[in-house]
Amino acid sequence: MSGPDEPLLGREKPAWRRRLIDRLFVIGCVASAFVSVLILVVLLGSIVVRGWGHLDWAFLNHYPSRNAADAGLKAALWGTIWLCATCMILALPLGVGAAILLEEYAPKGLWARRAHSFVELNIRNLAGVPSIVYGIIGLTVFVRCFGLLGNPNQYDQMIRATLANGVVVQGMLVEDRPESVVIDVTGVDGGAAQAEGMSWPTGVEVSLALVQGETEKLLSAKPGEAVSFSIRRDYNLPLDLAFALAPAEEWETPSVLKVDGVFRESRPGLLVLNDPMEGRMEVPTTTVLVRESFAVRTHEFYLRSNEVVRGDSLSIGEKSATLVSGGRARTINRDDIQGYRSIGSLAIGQEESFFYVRLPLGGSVLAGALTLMLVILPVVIISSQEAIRAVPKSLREGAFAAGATRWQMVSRMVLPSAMPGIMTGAILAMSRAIGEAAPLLVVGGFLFITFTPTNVMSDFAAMPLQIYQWASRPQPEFYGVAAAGIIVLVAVLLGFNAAAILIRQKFQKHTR
Amino acid sequence: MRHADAPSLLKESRESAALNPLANVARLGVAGQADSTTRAPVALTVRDFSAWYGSFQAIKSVSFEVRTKRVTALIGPSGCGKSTFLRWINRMNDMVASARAEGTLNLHGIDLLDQRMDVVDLRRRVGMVFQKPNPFPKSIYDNIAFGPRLHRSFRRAELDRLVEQSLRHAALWEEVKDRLHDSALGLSGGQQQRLCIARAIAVGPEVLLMDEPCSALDPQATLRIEDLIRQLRSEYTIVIVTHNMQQAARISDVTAFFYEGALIEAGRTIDLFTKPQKKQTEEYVTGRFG
Amino acid sequence: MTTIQAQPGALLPLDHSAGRERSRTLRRFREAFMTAALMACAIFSTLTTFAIIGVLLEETRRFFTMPDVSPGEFFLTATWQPLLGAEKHFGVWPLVCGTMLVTGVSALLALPLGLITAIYLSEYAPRGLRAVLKPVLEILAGIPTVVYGFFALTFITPALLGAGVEVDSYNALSAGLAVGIMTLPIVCSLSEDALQAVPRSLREGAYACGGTRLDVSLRVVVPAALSGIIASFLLAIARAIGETMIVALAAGGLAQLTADPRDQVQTMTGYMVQIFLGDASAAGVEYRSSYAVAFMLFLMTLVVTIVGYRIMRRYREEYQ
Ligand SMILES: Nc1ncnc2c1ncn2[C@@H]1O[C@H](COP(=O)(O)OP(=O)(O)O)[C@@H](O)[C@H]1O
Ligand SMILES: [Mg+2]
Repeated sequence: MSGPDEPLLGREKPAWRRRLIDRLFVIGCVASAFVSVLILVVLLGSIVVRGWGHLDWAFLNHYPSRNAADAGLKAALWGTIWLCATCMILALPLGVGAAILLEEYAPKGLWARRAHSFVELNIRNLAGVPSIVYGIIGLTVFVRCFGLLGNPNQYDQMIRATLANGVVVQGMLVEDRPESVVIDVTGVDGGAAQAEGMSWPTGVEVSLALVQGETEKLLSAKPGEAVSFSIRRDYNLPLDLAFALAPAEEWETPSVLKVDGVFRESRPGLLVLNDPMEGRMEVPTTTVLVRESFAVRTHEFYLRSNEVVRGDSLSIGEKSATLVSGGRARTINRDDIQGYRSIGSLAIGQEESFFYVRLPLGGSVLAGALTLMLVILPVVIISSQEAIRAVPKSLREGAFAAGATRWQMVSRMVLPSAMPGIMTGAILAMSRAIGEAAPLLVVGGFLFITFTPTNVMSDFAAMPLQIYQWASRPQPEFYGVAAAGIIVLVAVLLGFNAAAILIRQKFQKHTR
Repeated sequence: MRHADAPSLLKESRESAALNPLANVARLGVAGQADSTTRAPVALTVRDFSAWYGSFQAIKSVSFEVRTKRVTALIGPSGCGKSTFLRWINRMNDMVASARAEGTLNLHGIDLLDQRMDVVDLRRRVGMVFQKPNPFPKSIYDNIAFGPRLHRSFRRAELDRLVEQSLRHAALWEEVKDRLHDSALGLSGGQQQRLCIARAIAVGPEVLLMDEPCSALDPQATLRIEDLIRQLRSEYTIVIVTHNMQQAARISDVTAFFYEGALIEAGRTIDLFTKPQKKQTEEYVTGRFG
Repeated sequence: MTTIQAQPGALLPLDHSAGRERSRTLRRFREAFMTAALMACAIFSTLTTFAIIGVLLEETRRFFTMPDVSPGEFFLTATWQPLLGAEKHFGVWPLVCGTMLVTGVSALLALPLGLITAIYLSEYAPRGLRAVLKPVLEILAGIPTVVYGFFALTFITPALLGAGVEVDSYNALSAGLAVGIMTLPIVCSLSEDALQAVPRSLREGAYACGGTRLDVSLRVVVPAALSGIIASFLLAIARAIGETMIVALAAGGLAQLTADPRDQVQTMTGYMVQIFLGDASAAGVEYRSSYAVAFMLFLMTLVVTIVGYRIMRRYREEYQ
């Protein structure tokens, strides 16, 4: 201790300086804290200014269009609703179940404890995995089912090329470029054999591309050599005949096509499409590529004998077609066919129930929802765990003391008490799912979709995907459309947040 | 009848208890507690019973007997293992991963330490009331019906009757009969605790365990619970943990004194309080430590 | 004082024979079944991890066994040219560089700003201001990243150009700033949790020594919460590394090795978007390469996340 006459060590800091620094720091703090408010205001402001003009009832009620003024959010809105509903139905039981196990079923024994803490740690790490990685997993596991169950694209990318010499090549569409088409003939029944067994006449340039290290054989055909191409949804739905055989004027072309364009009109030798990216597109029928997004229900052949033959499934040989109707098959010689018409229905799901499932899942609502489920599962589990943990221990003891089994205790005591917390977490998880674009982009790609899903196997659009698509277009007119889409999306999310807050408050009042 | 003069005795004891509870013990013993205490059949046999939390031994080789349809009080300073003992009787300690026990704990011939035993069946026979009232966040009715519904399926009228009877037994019926479907959380602390007792007896137990049931209550609510315990004695074997020696003296037939995990002394309450055999017991009951 | 009617004889014993006993076998069966079902739920989440690792490992292995590809080229060269030109190049560093550049810019914005906001919220802010700031941060945290991407593209970049910063129309700077805004609420809320976890006694001790609020905040509370703050930084950085939509919209598509944030860059996630949007054929080498890139991305974020949680758990243990 320093005595009264010893000088104090060190130099006294002036009090005014300390106070000044304190003040300045507070001012700095307030300023930087309000940067976030400023950012939010500018963000929302710039978007509202840009998008407000596009926002009207029609915007919610129109399908996308290449014309910015007509473009609407309907398909994306419904796609998002389907995706999120399916996703929550899957994620909620799984997530809450895992949370219950982690919180209520204390592990006994060394290995159980290790497994338990591994699962806990694992869930925390899963929460940090970038969502696009989940997209890739979804693509491999759900969309393709590891390739074990056939090619998911067999439904809409089966291509059948009839070359000028009459040789028919059938396989998967790998790539379509303006000057060539690449067909993968592996895995198609008879496809590989067909490609191998083909003897190409001299004068016709067709190259067979072999990818080393793989068994895949790629066949390239150039436009001049191909009489027609088309892509079928199903082995039994050979839409190609529509283009190969029927006179152009009589085509019953479905009014809605996907990916390449929306059908506009057909003229002799020419098919006119609306392409979402390129605008108007005229395609000579000799190089037509159609990816239809509907299922053919009935096939009609108009024979030279003026007879009309209908059937509901069709298989095609090189010289003849076999039409099956009501268990009876009829083989028609190809030379006898004068015209063909396939009658499809847009409403695939009218006959298929909404939960109809087919494997592999392909780029369907179900695949998208499962992928989103992976993304939000850690969020659901962690928030449910917190809600369950908040249930007082005394309630558990009371239930046990009354002779409840563990599951009775959980289902009658813990879950009802934790439900508001679980619901709040679920809503926040759901708003995360609504806003996720990256995994859906990997799983579904972005499609030009002009229908709303009718079952879980439908293709889908989604709001964030649609916004991304509009925002990434070179034409600045679409920025306004994108901004309008963002307003809708953010409004939905704010609505969900408000709901979560309301539930939380109501719950707090109840426990008082 | 054992309690021919029960009402007057209760009243008297309650009033004088407020003044000088220990002085009261002798009178209580003389007037109320007969030697039948030690002659009632044995409900729970405890032999060389030890319990651990991990490596910490909370109970050290305890032996004594709990008799049927008597009130047995467990007293002792905080942390001496009373709750631990109680929670082994209906295996609530199964919820604690580190808890383990050895020795004999035998309820009417059932080995309570048997790992394969059905604890659910056990808990039906051994109800428990906790230190802090823990009404479920449900209606009063649903609180009482919770236990019975777990084990049996009822017609509505049957369940109504059971709920009413249970509430009557817990001396709560008159106070809540008009608001059976209101939240139980709206009851006062004392009412909540009686609700918990009603909830426990609705399941139909033989034994009722009470872990300091009055320590979270005000003196008046405490007295009501004590009255209730005295009434329930005719039907249930009651084991009650209490911090409060006066309370043990007022309501119990047998008292067991625990100290640092060991059972120091157990015997008729009147004997334990008036002529304790061990020095520690005497110091504790006269309030010189603890 | 109320007297209860102590009438021991007046009550009939409880009748417990009413109702029908529930089946014990059924109870046991249901119990076993539910336990198994819950266990399946928990196992599912673990399977997800194995699926991620398995799929990425297998596809990466396949990528490296393809012709014209080698791990040496992938890790040791710095030209990423999978799509254009006669000769394809798979040197991953330009993509890593793009990711680092964007992450770096975002960290420069989000970490200091988030920490200062957290200190303000935890130590200074009066109730009223908290009531404004917290929801604002929650809303910022809830805005989808595609919206931030749009904001970067249509507002930040023009604003930077307007301010005289010569940026490309796609550039790492505006993407990084948008990622920073996105991660700001993460830094802020996790740091605030850490600050709030510092016991009151520590603050009171510091005040008792005559400290100003600034002294207490910066010299006592922040150091005490340091591990939690660092954890929040790491978790925010992990998010920034994995962010996809912002960079896909605003950072561009040119994989180049540059340290100038005004340039166009392609990040690892940006490349994956480009591939999966269908510029490449499903069987091609460039398609497979995206799995290798994804694996790298996964490992990077995993390491940062694990370290972050390790540190966070330590601070939780410190104060419990
Ligand atoms: N769940 C537990 N884990 C570890 N130790 C415990 C646990 N519960 C109680 N104990 C310890 O066991 C001893 C006895 O506790 P308890 O039976 O609750 O005492 P009492 O009820 O007599 O106050 C105490 O020292 C206490 O710290
Ligand atoms: Mg106790």
